[in-house]
Order: sequence, then C-alpha cells, then structure tokens
Amino acid sequence: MMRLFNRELSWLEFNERVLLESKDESLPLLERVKFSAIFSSNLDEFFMVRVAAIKNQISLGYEAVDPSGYTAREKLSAINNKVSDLVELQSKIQTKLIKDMDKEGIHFLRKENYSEADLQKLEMTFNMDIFPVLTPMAVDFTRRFPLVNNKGLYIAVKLLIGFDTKLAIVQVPSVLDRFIVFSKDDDNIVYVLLEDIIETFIDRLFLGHQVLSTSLFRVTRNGDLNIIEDEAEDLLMVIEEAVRLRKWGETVRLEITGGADPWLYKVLQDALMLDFKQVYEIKEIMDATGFFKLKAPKSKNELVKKIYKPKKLAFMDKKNIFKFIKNEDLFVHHPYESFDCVVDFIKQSSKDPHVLAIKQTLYRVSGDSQIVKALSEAADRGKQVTVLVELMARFDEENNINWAKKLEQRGVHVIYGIYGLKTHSKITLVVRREKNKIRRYLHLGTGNYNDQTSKLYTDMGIFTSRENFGSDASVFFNMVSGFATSVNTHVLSVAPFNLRQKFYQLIDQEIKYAKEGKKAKITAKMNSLVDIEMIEKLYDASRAGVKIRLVVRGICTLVPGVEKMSENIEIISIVGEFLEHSRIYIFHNNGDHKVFLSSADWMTRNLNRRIELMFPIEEKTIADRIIKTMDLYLSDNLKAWELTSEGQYVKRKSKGKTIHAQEILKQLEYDDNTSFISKLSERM
Amino acid sequence: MEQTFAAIDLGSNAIKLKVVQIDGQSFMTLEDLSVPIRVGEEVYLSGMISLDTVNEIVETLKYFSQVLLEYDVKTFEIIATSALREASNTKNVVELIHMKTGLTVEVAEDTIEKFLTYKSIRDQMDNYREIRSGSLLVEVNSGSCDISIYSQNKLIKNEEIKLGIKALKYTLMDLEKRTVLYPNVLKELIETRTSHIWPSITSRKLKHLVAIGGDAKLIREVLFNNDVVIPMADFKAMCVRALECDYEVRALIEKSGANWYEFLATIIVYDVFSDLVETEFIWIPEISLRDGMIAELVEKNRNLMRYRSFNNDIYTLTKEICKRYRTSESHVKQVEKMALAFFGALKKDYEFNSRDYMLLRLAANLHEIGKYTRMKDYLVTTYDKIINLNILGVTHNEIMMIAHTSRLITSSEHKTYGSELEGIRDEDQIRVYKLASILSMADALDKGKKQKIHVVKAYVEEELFVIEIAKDEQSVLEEWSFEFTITNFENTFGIRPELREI
Repeated sequence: MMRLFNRELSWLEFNERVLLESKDESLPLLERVKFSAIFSSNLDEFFMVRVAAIKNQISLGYEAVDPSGYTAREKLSAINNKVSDLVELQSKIQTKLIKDMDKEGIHFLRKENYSEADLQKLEMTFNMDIFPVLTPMAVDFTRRFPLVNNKGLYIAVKLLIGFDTKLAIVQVPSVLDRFIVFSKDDDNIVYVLLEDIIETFIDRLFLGHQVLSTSLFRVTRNGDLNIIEDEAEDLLMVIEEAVRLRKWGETVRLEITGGADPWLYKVLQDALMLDFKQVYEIKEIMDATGFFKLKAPKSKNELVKKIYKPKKLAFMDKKNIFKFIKNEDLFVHHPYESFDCVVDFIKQSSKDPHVLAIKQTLYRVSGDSQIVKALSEAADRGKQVTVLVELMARFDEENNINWAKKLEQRGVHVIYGIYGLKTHSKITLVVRREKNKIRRYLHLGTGNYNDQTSKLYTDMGIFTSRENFGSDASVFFNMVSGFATSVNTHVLSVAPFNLRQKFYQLIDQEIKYAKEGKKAKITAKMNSLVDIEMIEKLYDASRAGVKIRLVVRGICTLVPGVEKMSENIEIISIVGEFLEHSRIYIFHNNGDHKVFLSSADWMTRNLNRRIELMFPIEEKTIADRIIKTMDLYLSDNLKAWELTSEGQYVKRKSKGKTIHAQEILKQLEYDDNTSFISKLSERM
Repeated sequence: MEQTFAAIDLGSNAIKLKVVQIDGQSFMTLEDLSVPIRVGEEVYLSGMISLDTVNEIVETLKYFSQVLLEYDVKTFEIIATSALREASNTKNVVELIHMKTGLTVEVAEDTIEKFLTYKSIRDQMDNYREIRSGSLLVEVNSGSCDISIYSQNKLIKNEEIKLGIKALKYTLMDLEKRTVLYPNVLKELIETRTSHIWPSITSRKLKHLVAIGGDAKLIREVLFNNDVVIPMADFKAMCVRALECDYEVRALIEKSGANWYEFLATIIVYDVFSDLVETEFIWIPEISLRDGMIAELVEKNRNLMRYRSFNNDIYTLTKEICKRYRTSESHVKQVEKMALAFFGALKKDYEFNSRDYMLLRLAANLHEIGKYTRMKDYLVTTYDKIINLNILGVTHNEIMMIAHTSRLITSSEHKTYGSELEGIRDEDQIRVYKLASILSMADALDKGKKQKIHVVKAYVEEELFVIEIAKDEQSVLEEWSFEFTITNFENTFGIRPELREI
C-alpha cells in the first residue's frame, strides 16, 4: 500500500473534477463552458510550473525517487498519459458544449463553413483590422527558431518557395479579440475565430509563394520565477527582469491542431525540441481559456449564472465600523457576505481623522483595486501607510510592480517582504487614536484583498480590536519589514517561525486525549495537503484514534482509509460554483473546541517557505458558526468527491436529503452569527 | 496631556525601541522592537564605528521614526550607551545620524544610563520596596560591571568595576588556549578584581541578589524558562555546569544565537557575587534602559511625585560619600537648609529648575570633603575629589558644576564674573555662579559651624534680598564672613543681600 499519492497526479485529478463540472447539465450552459476554460487555464499553469520543474530535474540528470515513489522521468510519463486522457475528455466535452451552444443560439462559424458572402465580409475585416498587425516570420533552419511567446497562438505555414518547402510562422495577434462577433440578434450570436480568418487569407502575406498547408499551434514555457535573490540588489528590478524573461522560458508543451500536416508537426516538434508525448493534438477549439469571454444572446439570460448578490449584515452598512469592532469581533464569510465591508474598512480608515496608520499585506489585488486607491488617499491625507507587496504572487508580478510603484509615488511605504519568503498572509492593521488612547483594529483573513476574486472564492475573515491581536500584528509587520528578529507572538501563529509547531502542539493534544480514551477529533479545510511531516503527524493521530475529517479542495497526497495508518482519516473535495479557498482548522480539545483560520495550507511551502498567519477565533458564537459551517461542508453530497485509498475521487452518493453546501450558504437568510447557526441547523 | 511615549536605546548589540501608552496608572506596551547591530563589538575591536554601521543605524532609526509617526508619539528620547560613548568618532556619528534622519541622539554618560536602568526596576518588580530594604544589584554590561547596594530604602553604594563582557570574552578565549579549566581561571581573576568591594557587601545582611544586564536576560530566558525568581540552589547548580562547560548548556546558549564566551563571563561574574550574599533566590527582572527612559519622560512630563522621590537616591548616595569623608554633618545640614531657603526665595525670579535644586543640595553636602585629606587649600582638594566622583544619575557636566560651586564659596576663589569655568558647558556657566553665590552665603552664615543663626525668612524686596534671621548667641564671625559674600551675590543676581535680625 502506498504511503503517499503523487502530488502532480493528485493535482491532475483535481483538474479533472473541475473539467467534469462542465458536464453538469444542472448548471447554466455558459457556466459549464467556464469550467472548461478554468480547466485549460489551470492546465497551462500546471505545465508552466510543475511540468517545467520536472523537465528541469530530468535535464539535470536528477534520478532520485520522490516520496510517492516516482522518478522524474516516470512522473513526466505518467503526467503525459494522464494529460492526454484529459485533453481527449475535454475535447469530447467541448464538442458537446459547442453543440449545446449552437442549440441555444451561440454559434461558431468555422472557416470550412464560410459562404461566399461570409468571405466577402471577412475579407474586409482582414484587410482593415487584421492585416496591418500581422508579422510573418520566415524560419531559416540554419538559424535559431524564432522565439514564440508563452501561451501565444501561432499559425505555422508550409510554403513552397521555388522548389523548396519552407516554414513561416504568423502570430495570431493578442491585441485583437479572438472571438469576433460576426453577427448577432436578440436570440443568436455568431462568432468567428481570429485564427480562422487569418488562415483563410494567409496567402496575402506570402505573395508570390504557394501556401501548401497551415496549422494552428500554441506553446507553453517554463514560467516559474526561479530567482537567485542573493544576487539581487533590488528585488523589484529582478522581478521585472524575470517577468520579461518568462516569455522565453524552455518549452514544455506544444498544442497543435489535430490532423495537422505531418511535415509541420515534425518541424515544430524538432524545432522546439519536444518529445512526441509533449505534443498534444487539439481536435476542438484550441486554448479554451478564450471561452471566458463568450456572451449569451440578449434573450437567453438563463444561459449565464444569475448574478449572486452577497448578503449585507447590519454592521456592514455603518459609517463607523470601528464602533462595532470595538464592541465585539466581527466575522465575514465571502462571497456569501459582501467583501465591501473589507474595502469599506480601508476606505473609512483612509478618511477617518483619528486613524494614524494603516498597514496591510497585499498579495494579489485586482487591476482597479479600490483598496489600493484608498491606501493612496490615506497617504495623501498624511496617514502613515505601509503596504507589504508580494511581488512574486505567481503570474501576477507585472500587475504588482505597476501598482507598487504607483503607491510609492503617493508616499506609501512599500516594502517587498523578506528575501526567500513569499508573504502570503492576509492582514490589515489600523492604528487609531481614540480620546488620547491608541487602539489597534485588525482584519485578518484567509483570502487575498482582491475585490474581484472575493466574488468567486470562498474565504473567511474577522475584524477585531483585541489588544493581544493588535500587539501581535505590530510584531508581525515589524518582522516582515525586516526589523524584528524574533516572532514572539501571543495569539497569532506565524510561518515559518511557529506555525508548524503550533499545529503539532494541537495535534499532539488530540493524540493525548485519544490515548486517554477521550473524544479526539480534528476537522480541517484547506486547498492542498502535501507536507510529508504533517501527513505523518496525521497518520500518528489516526493510529492513536483521533478522528480526522478533511475537506481538501485540490492536491492531497495523504492516503486515507488505510488500516493501521489512516483508517480514521476521511477526505473529501468540494468543487463547485465558488472556488473553495478558506482554510479552517478545528481541534476538538476535549469538548472545548479550538477554532483557527489561516492563510496557510498544509503544504511545505506554506509552512516553511512563506510568511503565513493563523489566528484563533476567540468569540464563541463565531467559533460555533465556523464549526457549523464545517459540518455543512462535510455533509455535502452533491458537490463533494470522496478520496479513496487508491487515489481516486468518487462523487459522493446522496443518501436521503441532498446537501449542496455552497447553495445552502447562498440561500440562507440570517441576521447574525446566532441566527445563522439556528437557520443552518434547520437546513441540515 | 501626552499619552504615548517612546524610548530608543542605541546599545552595544542592538538598537531598541519601546513605545508605551499610559493607561491609568499602568503602562501598556504598543511596540517593543530590537534590531541587532553589533556596534559594541566593532568599537571594541577597531575603536570606532564604521560608515557601514552608521548606515545600518540610520536605516533602523528611519524605520523607528516611521513607527513613532504611526502612533503619533511626540515625546521620545534617543539615548546611546557605552558603544557610542567609547567610540573615537562619537561626535561624527551623532552628527551623521542627525543629518540623515533629523533625529538627535544623546550619548548618555555611564551614570545616567545606570540611573535610568535602575529606575525601571521600580516599575518592573512587584517587590520593589522589599528590594530597596536590602539588596545587592549586579549589572554586567559590555564595558563594565556595576555594583549597587540598597539598604533601608536607600541606595548607599554604587561602584563601577572595569569588568566588561567584551574584554572578558577575549580573556576567556585566550585562556582556553592554555587550559581546559579556563572558566575557573577567569573566576579567579574576577574574584581578585572585585575583592576590594566584598567587605562592604558581606558586612550588611542583604536579603536579595538582583542580576541585571543584557546577558542576565539570556540566562533567564534560555536556562530558567524565563522565570524572574530563580532558586539560588538551581542557579548555583547551573553555574557549576557552566564552569564545567557542560555540553547541553553550551548547546542551549549557542542555539539561542548568543556567544558562549560572553555568556560564560557573565554567569561567572554573577556566580562570584552570589557567594557574598545569603539569599534563597536570585532575581533576574525584566528591566531595561528603555523602561527607565520612559519612566523618566512620563514623570517629567506629568511632574509626578515619584520622579522627585527617585531622585532622592542621588542625594542618599551623596550623603554616603560625605560620611566616608567625615564631613561635619551638622554644618552640612545647616548650610543645605539655609541654601535651600535662599534658593526657594530666588527660584521664581531667577528661573531655577528642579535640577538646580538638586545640584545645590549636592554641592552643600560635598563642599567640605577635601578637608578629610588636607585642611590647607581644602577647597581645591574638594574640587579635585568631586570631579573624580561618579554619582548615579548625575552627568559629568553636572559633577563639574558641583565641583565649581563648592570651590567658589569663598570670595578668594570667586573669580571675576564672566570668566570661564573649566569643563562646563557654556550655557551652564552662569548657573554655577548663581548656585555658588547662594551656597557661599549659606556657608558664611555658619562659619563657626555652631548653627548660631537661623534663617526665618528670605525674600526679594525691590533691590534687596532680605534675609530675616534669629540667633541664640553673638554671631560676629558669621556676619563678618557674610559681608565677604555680598559683592559676589550682588554681581550675580543684581540685588544686594541684607541681614535683618528679628
């Protein structure tokens, strides 16, 4: 029996669950299409990071076996096999989706179906809008293959020049819409694809030569920022450079139109130095990430998900949120409850004359972030504003650099964190002078300060003015500013300093209770579970009789349900409309539950290589509410997948009452934590 | 009224910031930050502070300034201690820091540093009163070791011994090359260097031993689970293990990031002094210069009574010095009493402050200590003795002021008004002349040392400074002496003193 699942294959299992959502016909059609797009976007990132890392290991001759028993080569092979199956599955699903869309009035007019009239119209579009931005590149095999952008779409062209067959490539311009609305009325929208138009008129680019064949292709490159920070004088400059270089990382995947000219296939494979297993033939529309932009015809609102309006609780509308926080801790659960209160907290802080300072960690923020705006305004008003920007939030670096510079220009103290430790924690500290007394207000959360993703990700947070929290927050910010050597905190646990130890203490306590014959239980929810030491600790706990129930949305390498190892561990994954993102850790503690929220998963990178925070929930009603919410997640039998000891995820069978956790949380009407608990009890 | 106060301590091993908020009677810490910068090590090895280190200090102070703004702290102080004090380029460093940060660093004299550190004991130790009733305080620092004795609620002894940890560390490292019993050799050396002070400790039944200083905290945190009160038996057992270079102890110390030799030198000093007191416990309180600085700032800011009462320690220490030099207690008392009466009458018009009051008291007490060794020219001898004193809480400039004040009590010594007094800051020259004029008049009125004249009242009346006196017997000598002081007083204050018998 294996002791650990392979993390890459576990991730692919997760992505398969995402893809399978697009088969769920109970969902609005464009919602299903969106899941296919998410699958593609996820897979891109997987290739750019994980596959690239494995390829690096192979090229370095690294032959060691990983904790799940795979060598790098074996892993790559297993990945390629699994991805091929998934690509095949996606293709089938996409065919069905396109068919369903066609029935519902969303049509794709492909080049093989262009009529004469269509051609005339498209020729105009080509000449006026497309042709001016096209740059064909001739490939001379005596020279290096032209650099093609990561995730860019290209058309490979086989040309006959004289008696020679030559290759040229043309980029499908990313500055133009890829899905072009060809025609529309209230009931129908017809899309044409940009690459189809270019392929149709491609001979205009090679006048005097014969175009023998064309094929669409797309490459994925190594995108991980492997920065040697010791060599960096200024982290900002290094990241800028790394972002620039990312476009040109080693190729890890080639996607090419199914049934492409074998000559083109071979030439591209050789030029990009790829194994045939890394070439994926795409039978349907390539790069489904473009599907995010599809729109429904005017009369077909049922095709899109109804816009969900988050609840607003009493305190959220108040002009002075500080009054409420001063009296009691406030709890928020997004997206069921509006994220506006978090934005308002910053906005009010920026305007409040009593506020002296605002400190915040920012990991990923939206393009037009209201929070960033409020922070700038606070600095304008003479408040001390400190923002810790994590430049290395993966694939968001370019965005981060831009607004970090803007903030600096406005007088905000921007700090870039600690070398080698990505700052992943989510915390805001507001220092306020009240009647000559300093009081510190905090927001602590499991999710990023991003008003856009907060509508899609489930996250939890609290507002508090507890002094011990405030004091720890100050210690935390001094530490991330590089001006505190030790992290002696009272209530907050901080990775990589004391978070792992805190978890071990809490688990050990449960083990102790179990050994004493008392009830011992751990329930937790996280995005991923891969840390080997933590898994071994959970195995110890399971062996001691601690009942462990986990909701792990993504990668999970722990093998549950194995006799004498993990028989007391049950794991489910919930994949649904909202991305499950909250991290909740509950320890039974002999009946006196200890409830924590955190920015950290049980991943080695979170516990050892990132600045993370975990905070206790000290207000009993909030703790009870979180426990109740966890019970709901664990009872889900519509969107929950059970992980078997063989590593498969099996959709949980509904026995009796159907429980759809996300839907119940969406519909639940309540005024406060107490009424939440009673209303939820009625629904379960 | 100010509610937030801050203190920055630019020390040998770190720059530390503490921000507190006053909440009723208690202090609530808002920030307590320590950034390690090894200034002391650099000064010890090279004698000066390099530009790189200055830049490190500047960066840290900039961050601290930001923190001060975050809490809107307006009342704060930055004090640099031994490392900066001993560096050859102190003035340059202070100027550079000022240029780059706008902050003014005050380089505290040793006596002030200790005074402030001791002050924090009051706020940090619950049994402070008990400690003052009879205890030995041993403070081990990078540059020196400081021994203080509290008895009957008074600080009666404070002596600095040149036993700095930085020097002891290198002594230990050197000794290690010669013998495996190097800690024992160091103990022997420390015993030799401190033996002169032992009788004054053993002669009193001191009930407590209090260990303070940077590495005392390390001992408490790493070896005694951060307990403030440690049973003496446990402490002695730990000393034995340290002297034997116990592997586990060394591993614990080094794991904490501390230097083994510095730790060893520190614990040996405490070990030596713990043999001199019979107590059940050793106290290692959480005290710091920063706490003392804040206490001082708060008390000054709020004009608290306890500020004045703590300053009494300076007075009692001076009294002990008087005893040592066998000065006439009744004369000193009488002079002090009259001088303070004059001071009180002149205070408002001539803008004297509480520090002037203290300096006058100290000068009144010390003005005759030179007589102990030499009657002839005793004022010069007094002056020489005072300038070599180290009194806790009194700066060197102030010591010089006391010395000059004491010396200027006779007209022969009273130089022409305006001539420069050696070793005193420009702005304090005039203060000395004023204090000396007062003291010399008080001394004259007890010239016979028989306390014949009693000052009933003193006050300013137009161009006169009226001193109403009562006397039990004839006082020709005193009145004759008084006349010699009139000109100097008049030149200094612009009013003429006049005796009126009632």
